[in-house]
Amino acid sequence: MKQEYKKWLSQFRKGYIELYTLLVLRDGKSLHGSALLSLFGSNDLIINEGTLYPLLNRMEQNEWLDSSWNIPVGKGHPKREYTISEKGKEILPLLEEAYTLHTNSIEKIKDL
Amino acid sequence: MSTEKYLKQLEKHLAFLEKNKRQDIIKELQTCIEDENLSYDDVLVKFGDVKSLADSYLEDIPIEERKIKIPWYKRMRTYVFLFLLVIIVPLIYTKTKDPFDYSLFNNKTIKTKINQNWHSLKLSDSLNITQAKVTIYFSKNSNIEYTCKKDKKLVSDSNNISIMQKDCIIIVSDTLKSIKGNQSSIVIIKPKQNLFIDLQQASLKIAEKGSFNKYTFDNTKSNADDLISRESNYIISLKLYQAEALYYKY
Repeated sequence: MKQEYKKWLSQFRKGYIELYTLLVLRDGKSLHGSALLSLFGSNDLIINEGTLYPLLNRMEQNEWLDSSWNIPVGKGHPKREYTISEKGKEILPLLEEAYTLHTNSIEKIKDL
Repeated sequence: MSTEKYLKQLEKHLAFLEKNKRQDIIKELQTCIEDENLSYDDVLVKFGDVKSLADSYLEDIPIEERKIKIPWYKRMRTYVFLFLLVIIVPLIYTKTKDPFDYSLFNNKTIKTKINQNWHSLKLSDSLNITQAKVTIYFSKNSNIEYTCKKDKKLVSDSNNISIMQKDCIIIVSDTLKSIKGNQSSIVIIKPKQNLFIDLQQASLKIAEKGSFNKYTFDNTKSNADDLISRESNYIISLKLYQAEALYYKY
């Protein structure tokens, strides 16, 4: 049961993590994976690296995100930072609309 | 396993991706691992096992495409293997194949066929063959005659001739009672006497040439199914251990 739930949750999350990522980056922020994880975590969205990084990669393949390597001055490793692309900005309202629609549908179905 | 090995394995699984994309993924994860000083166990908890993580990266690539696009190093390995097969198999075949059909000759004609130095040894009861290739003809002569590649000589003590790591043709007298073979390849042509043959991890090929033999077997992990025992004046007793005995075919 727990395993099946985890599997379902993993599939379910993928969609809304993409939406949240676009929402976080919509105002032109540039963030790396760890920063996104912290940000999601502090908003009760606990996901692990193995879920986020492949999703970021997929979003970049879809051209919803752009990425670049930020080389820090002095100490520290280069970090891959993500920003929302033009295509990402275009798709975001559609995703939000779909999300709202589905949330409303759930409420409606519960009231049946 | 170390975190480096984890990343190496992931890179192999991602071989279907373009090189720069693959490198970006590995570099990104490496940065994350180093920044947080993650152990291998931490990596397993955060990223999951290598295969699942790779599958997450590759899930948009159709399975068929993944199968078709074999990474270059795997293709190379296959080509090298095939190349070696093409070279080595004929080489092994020519090295192991008999130079001619031994069964077409007898104890007299073989000496004409093999135009090398033939040597004589006094009568002997037994042959002890170790890691050697030996073809044996039978005669009524009182001496044993032989010739070996590179003109190597055989060693004989009172009742035994030792053949070790040699390639020889030998014409034995009817005093021979037993042959012991260890990790050797032995051919006997038209045996005309009772023989006890004891083989360990060796191969025996018998050319009967119309003179049937009665065989008795004491087999352990061996194969002698090919041989048919018939009524005969000559009994060949075979004691086989991880060995094979069959009819000679050129």
